[in-house]
Amino acid sequence: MMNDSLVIETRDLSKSYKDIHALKTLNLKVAKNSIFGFLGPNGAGKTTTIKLLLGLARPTSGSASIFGYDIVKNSVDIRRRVGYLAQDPRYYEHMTAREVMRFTARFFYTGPEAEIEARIEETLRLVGLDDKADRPIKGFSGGERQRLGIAQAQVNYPDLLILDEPAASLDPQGRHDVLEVMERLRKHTTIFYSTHILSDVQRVSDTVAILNHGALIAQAPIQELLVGGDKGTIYSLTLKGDVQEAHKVVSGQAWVSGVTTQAENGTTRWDVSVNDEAQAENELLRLVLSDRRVNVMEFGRKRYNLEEVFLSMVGEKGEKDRVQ
Amino acid sequence: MGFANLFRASSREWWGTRQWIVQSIIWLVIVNGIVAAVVLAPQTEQGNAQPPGISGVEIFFMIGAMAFGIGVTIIGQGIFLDEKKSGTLAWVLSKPVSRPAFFFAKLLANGLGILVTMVVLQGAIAYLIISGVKGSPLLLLPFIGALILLALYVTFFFTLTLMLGVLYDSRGAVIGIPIALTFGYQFIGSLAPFLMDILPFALVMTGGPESPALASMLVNQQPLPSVLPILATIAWIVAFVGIALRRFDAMEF
Repeated sequence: MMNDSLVIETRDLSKSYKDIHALKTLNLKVAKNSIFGFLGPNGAGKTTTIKLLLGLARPTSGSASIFGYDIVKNSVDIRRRVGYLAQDPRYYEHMTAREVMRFTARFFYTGPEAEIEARIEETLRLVGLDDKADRPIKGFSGGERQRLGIAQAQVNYPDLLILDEPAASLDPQGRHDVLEVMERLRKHTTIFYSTHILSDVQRVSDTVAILNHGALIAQAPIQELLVGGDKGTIYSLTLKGDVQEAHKVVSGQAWVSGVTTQAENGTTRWDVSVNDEAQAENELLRLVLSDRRVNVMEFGRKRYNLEEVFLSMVGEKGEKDRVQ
Repeated sequence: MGFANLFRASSREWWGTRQWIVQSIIWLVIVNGIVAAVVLAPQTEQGNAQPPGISGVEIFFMIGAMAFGIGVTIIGQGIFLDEKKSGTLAWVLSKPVSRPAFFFAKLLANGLGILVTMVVLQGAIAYLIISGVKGSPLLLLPFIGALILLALYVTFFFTLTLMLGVLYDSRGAVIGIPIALTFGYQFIGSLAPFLMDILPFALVMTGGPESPALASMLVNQQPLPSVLPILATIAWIVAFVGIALRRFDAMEF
């Protein structure tokens, strides 16, 4: 029986196309009302995963469930509660934006026309397309199509939003708006989205999974990834002055496993890896301050940006995957 | 699930646009234009401009069969192929719609448009032209029976084209096979005569005074020599739909 707090759960989900393993034993858990970022380089298997979840492709092995429904046997039931934005959204070119929305809404609603139209109007306004609602899609720019995609994905108040590169083709303001919409929707829905824009993931996601060559190489709450996850505890210091002696003193401590140094614009940056967090917390700053030739400009637990984490994981583990 | 919405949208592409008017005019000109030209032609020395043994009814069904066979191929070839290529098929299937619902919505909405503009409307016009020239109305029920055979013939080619549109990604195969069949039926008949009993041509194509089309025989209230071509055509239609559905269900995007 599926855990009620999970919306998506995959169990060794795999997909192969002849000799190509597009997805290898994927085990994902997506919590309810979370924003789950799905990262990976091109060809990692993100879109393949999304297509499997939506019933647009069938797994080679393994299984998955959404809302407790099996993705193969109960695909239509799942899609009733899901809103989906494809990576490169396509619509019937002869339709206007409003007609696309009406067509989409009628898959979910059979109620009074006036209410459906009101919902359509509201959704178009939310994405800034209300003034272009009656223009044919044919003349829409990439950004406008993306906005329409976001609108049609949420017209049915979905319990799960699956977004494949939602901020693609959008200018910075558009991206900002999409992220705002996602944060606003979090209370009402679960959002599962794939993207290349790591700063966006860092900004809004609760949990992140990183995929490479079809294999899951990391899945953790974003905060855990950003403090280095499996890299152990690292403290970051920005110093001015003559740091040589201080460097010797700190490196010589038993609880210090290594110190990397980088000179930057007249300052020196240290990343101090420690094997005893409690001791480091107590003593590291005091040790450095005790050398009066050194001024401490910044001190704190090292926080990675997601790009560093992503590149290091995709780099090192990517090599292992390729060998495998 | 989703059938009603898809059927409505596909129907609107016929009845909510000029498509039905355009199709009606095209077939009026091509089919009934020829029927009218033939039946209204001045009398020859022999007293009849028509080829011996070929009546206006037979002209209508033969020309109609050739023209409609090509017409439904051209209309039908894009129904699945264009949606596959454009990506709209994947988009629609990401909504709560079952694959059979999608297939049948397209089949029925387009089939209705085709049958109304080609068979019903052109049949009604041909009935009026031929009855007018004859000086008295053709017997209505037998004529309607003959139109049903024409509808079966058209449906054969339509479902064949839809099936090919599901099976193949190449427009060449989707258009080429039905067109080759339309033009090559006499060649097929000469190579393997038994095939003519199980292909739809006998329904509407007259092979000569000795082998009138079943449709003509119905209009002339002649007993049908065999119902095998009718049953076989229905069986082909069911087979095409079944194969298309099976393949469509397994399709991945």
